Amino acid sequence: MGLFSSSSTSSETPDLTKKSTRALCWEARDSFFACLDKNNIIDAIENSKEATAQCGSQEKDFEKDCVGSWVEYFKQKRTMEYNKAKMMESLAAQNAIKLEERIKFQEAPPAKK
Amino acid sequence: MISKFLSRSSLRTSVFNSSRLQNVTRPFFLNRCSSRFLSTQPPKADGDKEAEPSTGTHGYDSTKPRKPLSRITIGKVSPGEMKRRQVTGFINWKAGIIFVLTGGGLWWFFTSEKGRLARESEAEANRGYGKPLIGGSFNLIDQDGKSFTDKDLLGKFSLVYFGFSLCPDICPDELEKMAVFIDDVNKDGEVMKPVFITCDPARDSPEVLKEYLSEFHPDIVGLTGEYDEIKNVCKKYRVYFSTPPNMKPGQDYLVDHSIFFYLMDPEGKFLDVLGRQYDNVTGPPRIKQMMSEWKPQAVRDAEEASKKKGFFSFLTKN
Repeated sequence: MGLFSSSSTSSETPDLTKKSTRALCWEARDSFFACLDKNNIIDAIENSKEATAQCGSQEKDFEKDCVGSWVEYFKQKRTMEYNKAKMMESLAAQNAIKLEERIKFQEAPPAKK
Repeated sequence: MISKFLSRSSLRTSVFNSSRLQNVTRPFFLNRCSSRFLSTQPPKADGDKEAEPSTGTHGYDSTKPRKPLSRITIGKVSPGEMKRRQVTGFINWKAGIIFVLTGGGLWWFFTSEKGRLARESEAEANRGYGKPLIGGSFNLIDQDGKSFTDKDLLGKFSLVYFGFSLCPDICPDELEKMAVFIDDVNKDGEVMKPVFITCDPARDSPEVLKEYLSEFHPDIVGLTGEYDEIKNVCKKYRVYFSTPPNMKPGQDYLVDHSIFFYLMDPEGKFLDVLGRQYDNVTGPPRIKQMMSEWKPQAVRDAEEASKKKGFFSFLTKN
């Protein structure tokens, strides 16, 4: 357990096990993504140069308030969610029938979306 | 009026009479028919009668005076009521109420019975016929550093969730949900023990878990342990988790893991799984329903032994 103890982590790294710190990180993420939306950038990893050029200050805050793994995760998730929405749109255009997500074959309550 | 009828009927009978004279065998229904119509005329006393003895007069004797048809009504009904009956038949408000009540009652009974049996058989199927498909023995430590094993879960229902404290967004969401479930289900005393098992024992020490979980709900038991013990419990609960390989101390990483709530019964057996589609509103009723319909193993065994599957079990035959 002591193997990964926090002696090596710098004091600047936020402690994201706390609710308040998480909220800060999510806030920074949302403002960075809002800026990306404004500049029509979807994938902030693939188009990282453009993203930094357009939303440099927000990105810096995002990286400061979150940790590296979270930053990467949120960026990937954003791309994934965009692709998912696009795919759903194209499926809807083809008149596909949407199935509710369920684990078992039983009455499933309407999925929260 | 009567004479008119008679004249018409005699017209028809004359045909029969002629056929009789020709001594042709007529179908039986004509026999009966003709005898009725013929009764208005005196029977012929010639040899014809002997030739066809089957054409009876049913005790009619033309020499005796005839009795008029009975005009006494059976069950006296007012003319207005009579008219209503002609229009609507037996339908009236009493019959309507009885119909609706009986129909509604039967519908309710069969629907609820069918639902209950379906859930019962589903719970039975989930239990895997006594084999522990999900769950099993483990040996971990709780957020206070005390030993905690599967035995500590017995006696109460438990809601088990796997996650890790440095989880970016899904675990916090799910734990918020768990807090709502706990408050709702344990409103009148603790019937369900909420348990959080970490998939990241390297970083989640008891102290970290204690602080982390206290922000969600004070009742959640946080479990951690040696990596091999965590691996063992995840395997037993069929939880997938992966820590990136070759991690250096202090390095920042995410743990990939499956997101399910497991509802375990007081005997430590798997009862139900709740995925992310259950929200604050739909989760608690589902849990409470599974709990209320749960029966101890001994009771289930006894029922199984007696093979009395209930009168309406044919509804869910599969």
